Amino acid sequence: MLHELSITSAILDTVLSELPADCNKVTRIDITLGDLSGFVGEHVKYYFELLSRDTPASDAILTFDYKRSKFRCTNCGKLYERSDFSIRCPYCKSMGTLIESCNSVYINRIEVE
Amino acid sequence: MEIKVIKDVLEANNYIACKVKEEIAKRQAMMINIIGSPGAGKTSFIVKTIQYLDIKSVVIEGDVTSDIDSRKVAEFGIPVVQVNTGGGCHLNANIIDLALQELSSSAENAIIFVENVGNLICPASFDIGEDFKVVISSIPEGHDKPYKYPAIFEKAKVTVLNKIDLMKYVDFNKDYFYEAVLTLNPKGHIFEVSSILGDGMKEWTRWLKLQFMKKFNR
Repeated sequence: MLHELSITSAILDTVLSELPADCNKVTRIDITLGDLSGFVGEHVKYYFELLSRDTPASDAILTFDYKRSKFRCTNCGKLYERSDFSIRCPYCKSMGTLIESCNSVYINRIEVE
Repeated sequence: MEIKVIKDVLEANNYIACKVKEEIAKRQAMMINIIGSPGAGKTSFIVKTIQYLDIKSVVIEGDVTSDIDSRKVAEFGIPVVQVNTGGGCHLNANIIDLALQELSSSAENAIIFVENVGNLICPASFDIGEDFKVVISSIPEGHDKPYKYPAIFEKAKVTVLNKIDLMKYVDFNKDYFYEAVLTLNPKGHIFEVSSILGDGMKEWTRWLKLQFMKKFNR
């Protein structure tokens, strides 16, 4: 859980740097989280609550769009996404090759007042 | 009011990482980011690698606290700088930028080994300006590490399977381990080594030396 502390701090810094001078409240932050990033949205929320105290983002709602990496099966050729417990092809159970990696954390949009 | 951002939250770190990369190139050096769990054998691996290399080498030791590892490296006469993160579970580009200033001329025409904090999650996300990442996984840790921590096995150019001499004592399914690494990183390189006995070190250091020579057309 400690792992999300740095990334949450970076999220808060980015949001505050984007805040226009005439706005004093961030109400919503939409975040994209790659499944290979290793970060968990619920833990980001936990740290955000602590770190954002006494900042314009203290009441912001965080939403997460989870992006899943894509693999191609080396046996049946089908595209598939990694499940939580396996990187094998769910159709024929063979191994695949990673063809689209989702390992980043992005802020997509914020809402401010 | 809605503001479209679309910004990588690690942009600030990545900016400094680019600066570090330029600085390393200016020094005709190469930097390797060594990542692994606590106890994977990172320090022993670095020391043994340097002993097998005939290239000037320096070490940046990253730890949450203490200078145990840097003292161990210094015992072998290797130039080393200790950096403590004070609770942080990874190194970032800014820490490396400062450490490089301290190393000054000893990090010229050299390989700079950075031992990251023992952790397989955060160090995968934070670029430090390295030429490439090396992930060390050891036999006693088990064969499931690439499944549990896929990010680092995907991003590392090299996977080192350390403590290979312990294979006969541990229930380690090598095929299962390799399957995951090759799925996540089909172009990656895998070396099996024993940092204590020296098994596999010749193959690894031969490959490493080649990368160093190729970088500056030496």
